[in-house]
Amino acid sequence: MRTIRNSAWRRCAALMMGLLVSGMLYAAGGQQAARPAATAESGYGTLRLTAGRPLETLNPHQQAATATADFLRLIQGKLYRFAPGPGGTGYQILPEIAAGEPVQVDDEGRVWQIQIRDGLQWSNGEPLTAEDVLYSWRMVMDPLLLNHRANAFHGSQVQVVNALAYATGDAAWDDVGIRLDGNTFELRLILPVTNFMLKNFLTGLPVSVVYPPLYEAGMNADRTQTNYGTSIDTMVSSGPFMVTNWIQGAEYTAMKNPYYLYADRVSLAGVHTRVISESGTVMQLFENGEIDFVELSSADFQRFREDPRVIEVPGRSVQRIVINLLSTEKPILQDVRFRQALFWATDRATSARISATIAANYIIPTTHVMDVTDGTLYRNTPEARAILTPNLGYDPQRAKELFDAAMADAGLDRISLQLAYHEGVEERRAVSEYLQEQWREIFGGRLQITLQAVPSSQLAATLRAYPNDDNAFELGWTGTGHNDFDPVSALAHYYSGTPRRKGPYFSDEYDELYRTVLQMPIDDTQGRLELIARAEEVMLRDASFVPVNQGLSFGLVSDRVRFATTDGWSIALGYGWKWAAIVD
Amino acid sequence: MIKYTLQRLVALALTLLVILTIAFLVIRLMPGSIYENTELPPRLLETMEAKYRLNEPMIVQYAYFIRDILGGDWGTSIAIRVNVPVWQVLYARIPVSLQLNIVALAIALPVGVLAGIAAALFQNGKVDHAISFLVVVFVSVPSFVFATLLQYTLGFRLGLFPIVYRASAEGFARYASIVMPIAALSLGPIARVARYLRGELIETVSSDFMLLARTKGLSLFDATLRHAMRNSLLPLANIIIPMFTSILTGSLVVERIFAVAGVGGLLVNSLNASDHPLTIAILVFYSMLSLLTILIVDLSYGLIDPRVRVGGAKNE
Amino acid sequence: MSDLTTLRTILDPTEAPDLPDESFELTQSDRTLTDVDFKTPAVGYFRDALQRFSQNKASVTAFVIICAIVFMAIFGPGMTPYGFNQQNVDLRNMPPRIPALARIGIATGHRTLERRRVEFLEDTERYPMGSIIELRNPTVISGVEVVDVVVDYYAYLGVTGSFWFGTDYLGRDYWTRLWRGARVSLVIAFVSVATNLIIGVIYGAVSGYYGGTVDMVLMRICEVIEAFPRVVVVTLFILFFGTGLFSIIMSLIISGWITTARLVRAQFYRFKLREFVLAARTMGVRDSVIMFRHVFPNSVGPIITRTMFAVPLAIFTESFLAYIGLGLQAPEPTIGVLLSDAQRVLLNYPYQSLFPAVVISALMISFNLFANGLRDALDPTMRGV
Repeated sequence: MRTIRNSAWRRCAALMMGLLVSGMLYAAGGQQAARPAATAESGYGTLRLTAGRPLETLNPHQQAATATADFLRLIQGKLYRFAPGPGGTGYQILPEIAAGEPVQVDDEGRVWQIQIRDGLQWSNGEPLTAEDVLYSWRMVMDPLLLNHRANAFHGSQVQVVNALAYATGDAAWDDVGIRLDGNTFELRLILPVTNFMLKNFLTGLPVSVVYPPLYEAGMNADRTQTNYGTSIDTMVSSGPFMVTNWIQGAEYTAMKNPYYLYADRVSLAGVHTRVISESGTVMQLFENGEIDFVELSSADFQRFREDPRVIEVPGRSVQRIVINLLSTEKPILQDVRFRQALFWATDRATSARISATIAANYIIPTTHVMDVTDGTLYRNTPEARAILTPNLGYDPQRAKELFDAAMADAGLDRISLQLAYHEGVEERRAVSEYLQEQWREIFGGRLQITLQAVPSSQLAATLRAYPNDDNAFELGWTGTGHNDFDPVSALAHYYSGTPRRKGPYFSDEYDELYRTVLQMPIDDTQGRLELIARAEEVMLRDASFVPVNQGLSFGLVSDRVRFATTDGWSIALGYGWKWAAIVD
Repeated sequence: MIKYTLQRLVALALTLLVILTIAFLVIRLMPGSIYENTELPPRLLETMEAKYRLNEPMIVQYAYFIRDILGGDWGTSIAIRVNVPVWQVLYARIPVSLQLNIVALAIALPVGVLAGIAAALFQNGKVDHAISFLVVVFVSVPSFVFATLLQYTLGFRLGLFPIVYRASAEGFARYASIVMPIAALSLGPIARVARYLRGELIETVSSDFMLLARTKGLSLFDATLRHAMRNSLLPLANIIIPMFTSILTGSLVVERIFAVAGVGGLLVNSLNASDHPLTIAILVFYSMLSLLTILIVDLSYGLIDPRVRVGGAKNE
Repeated sequence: MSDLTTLRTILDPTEAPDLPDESFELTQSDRTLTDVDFKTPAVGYFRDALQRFSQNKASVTAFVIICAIVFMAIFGPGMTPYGFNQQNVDLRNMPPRIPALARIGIATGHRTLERRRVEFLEDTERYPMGSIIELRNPTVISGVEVVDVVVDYYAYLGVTGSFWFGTDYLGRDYWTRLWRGARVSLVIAFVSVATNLIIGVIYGAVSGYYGGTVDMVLMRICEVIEAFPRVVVVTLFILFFGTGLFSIIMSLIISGWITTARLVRAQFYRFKLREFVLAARTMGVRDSVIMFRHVFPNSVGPIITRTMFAVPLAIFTESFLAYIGLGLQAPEPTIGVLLSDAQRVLLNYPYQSLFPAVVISALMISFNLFANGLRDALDPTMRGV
């Protein structure tokens, strides 16, 4: 008996030891070991950043997340690139893979020629040629691969002839409006564009270059997929920096690329990014001096509000409450007076204070540039100011009158509505709770809002479901980003012809204005401005959504970082990390 | 025994098929698609969805799905790590999680067992009260509060350990950076094992065969170790099963706070990003894990307590 | 007499030697017997249990604490003049101030404003007279002199009243919200635990008692349900039924009973082949009676321990769900919602984490001790000890 028991114990102990040892072994060799950091040719200091979510790919044709785009901009070679202006103020667009300015061939601006620079190199020293650019462009819209970015040559104002038809398999490559003759590309476009618009388009990531040999090598048998950019061994860099390390889900590093054309303008030795989603953790790392930049939450901002290192950055979209004017269950939402009542009952100043954002009684955010020649912002123009409602659009008295009138006509005594918001976005929930209480008070308890937290991936789908389901939602938060250098793009979302809009809005007057703007001569800035302001006014008047606030973020930058421009942050360059320097 | 084992293995395969089917249905029922946040022209969207066969009827999609899986093709991730085979995505994350969890469990089990025995032996004594108090503290502070406090005090204020896990560090620096995540992970299990074992042992100590053992001259200590322990291990196995599986899913919070690139957050992320192939792979991974653990524990019942006839019908 | 003879005697009584009665003698004839019958009436099972329970001081204390928390959950929100959703956006995130305790330096309503510019300190618009208590850690950041300012936050904002537990991000009274939250959490916990217990016991009993194919199928069903992590299940519920009490309770129930079922099943395996069950079956007792009258009482100990433990655990799970964003419909608070909100601002407003953490810990400790006492009291083998 004794021996049996002892051996049972011994087995037990052995099992425990085994577990412990195997765990330790995992700890020692479980993960791929980090590569030794590449020694930079020149450049000084590593910028240490964090990202909220891991990289999903290094293939610019498949990239979707903002954090990934931020990193790809460091390592991807592009035809043109935004850079700090001379003397450290403003910005300029440098030709990078392009040899110089694009040349307008026709009168309207539909045919353009771009020459590719000679003597460029990939970060592995191989020559980067016009053929490589052609390959990259063809592959991004390849009908078999069907990349996430297959829409690259059709998605903005710059629309290459037959690019969409090629991607969907309805046209041959020869019909696409892209020709390469020697070193010179000729692009044929559907809509006329300006020199700036074309260059701005060509600074985009989807039209940057991929390394053809590896792109081809990674293809599967039926050419529907490539493993390009799934690891650092399956891609080659061509931008100011090159990837040297990528530990899946944890961290990634780019070191200065000695083969980069403007390597002399890059003063950093490298950029190191750690993936950390918990904001409290990021804050502690910053206060501990382990990272150089942190974006403050609204609670943290209260602690740092007088800190001289804080930089205020306006968000690129206006957060608004979409009203489902198709609702058959709540037909009162079809009444414009009811919708306007919600608009006037919203205290934007207080909402902005609660969420540390900018109060917005407008739809096109402050970041939109109207005139690229002098950098005039749309919101600063007299036309855009003129349509703004007084007191940030807050007038409880007027709201109550409109509400009472609408309710009386509908024969309702009280009404309850459901407001859907992104789960996990604390500021949005706080503002929703505030509005719920505020609206209840203003309308004397006759309007009851129930709050519905929805996972963010589902919220967009819910709002988008209106063509199939009239009662998909009642009220829902949304915000849409646009191209800052193209105010017209901010209007496209509300045009009834635009597919897959987040929420319904129908207005013949608006649609007419939108079509007119699109057809205007592209150099008639003043004429466009007036029409855009008119269109925005029509939207505000119809009140199919209630704009509440424009996002605002607060960056806290460590003392060892020197920005390339005096502004710190700018619309064109963002924080401009790649041009920054480190002083220790 | 062998027959029973075989039966269980067949059942395991069937269970897995049921899980796969439900997972497929459930995930396809969720609204949202990977192209959710891009405003693609309808024609292009159709073409893209056709590539992933999203336009086919559900039953056809299911047939393709089962055919691919039987052929060993689980697909590639479509949003979390684009174009990477799903098992490879998991494989890149599993070692980190396993390393943390195995070490955490390897620490938690013996420590918890020892603490439980000690508390039971000195029932209502000082040792018992001290252990019970600690146990209650460990179980009653939610892991995210505990992890945050640990990080703030030991990491940030005192600077004893790195604030976050360092994937790129080697040797000592790396060991130092996993101390806090492991501590945060193992305290809960330690407490649970200890308090459960204490309860079980105290109950067993008062049973007749223990009286016999004491009567034949064994000290309380000896009797507890020789006789009571064996009896208490069976119920203990019941709390270790969910512990084994939940320690992999439940480490989500700890992994998030200490920035560990493990599997914890992967499921939530892939769910949110509508990365269906990856979501299914993760679900299957988790199920396999729990199914195998349950199987092993069930089979070991007979070894721990010979009176238990596994699978025996009521009259056997 | 040799051992062999004795043995034979026992084996075959007919071979026993015929001894006369006189050879026997009563050994205790000269002593009075002390083990007489009880003269007092017999003590019933539950009465005995209650008696033993009330002797356990720790358990009684725990029971009192549980009652106190339940009492506060019912009446606490009514003790302040504020409603749980009464907002005051000018008084956001106020620190706690309890006038009676302020004298001994607890809940004084003071707050440290970090890194404030020295140049503004004289500005009475910013810092009203008498609001500055102390200046700490003067430093220079990017060429600007800054200092940590300890202020009386109530004077700083010009407020006269006091919030016992401070306020939250919309200026809502934290005391009111905390007890309101405790109420909701307790309801969630009790409902889900009770349901889990019923399902789990029946399921586990059937599975463990009948064994064989029944057990095989039932356990496989458990495995299928368990295969879906809680996150997926909750997301689905919220998708189809929206956030709210129903979704949370359902997601706690859908897989929550499995642990209980396993436990009961294991206990049944342990006891179903014991002699007393065999005896009962031989006497033709019905299965359901054997299961619940004869086998089940033996598993009451572990089940009660688990159930009592499951109450705070349910509150916990609810807080984990809140942490990953699947909480109750705002603005309704629960302990979990409060805790996960507070965790995000732990470094800024630590008191917001402190109060719900203390309540949840107190519940945990109390239920734990209460369960211990209850188990000892209900254990049939410990009767009369």
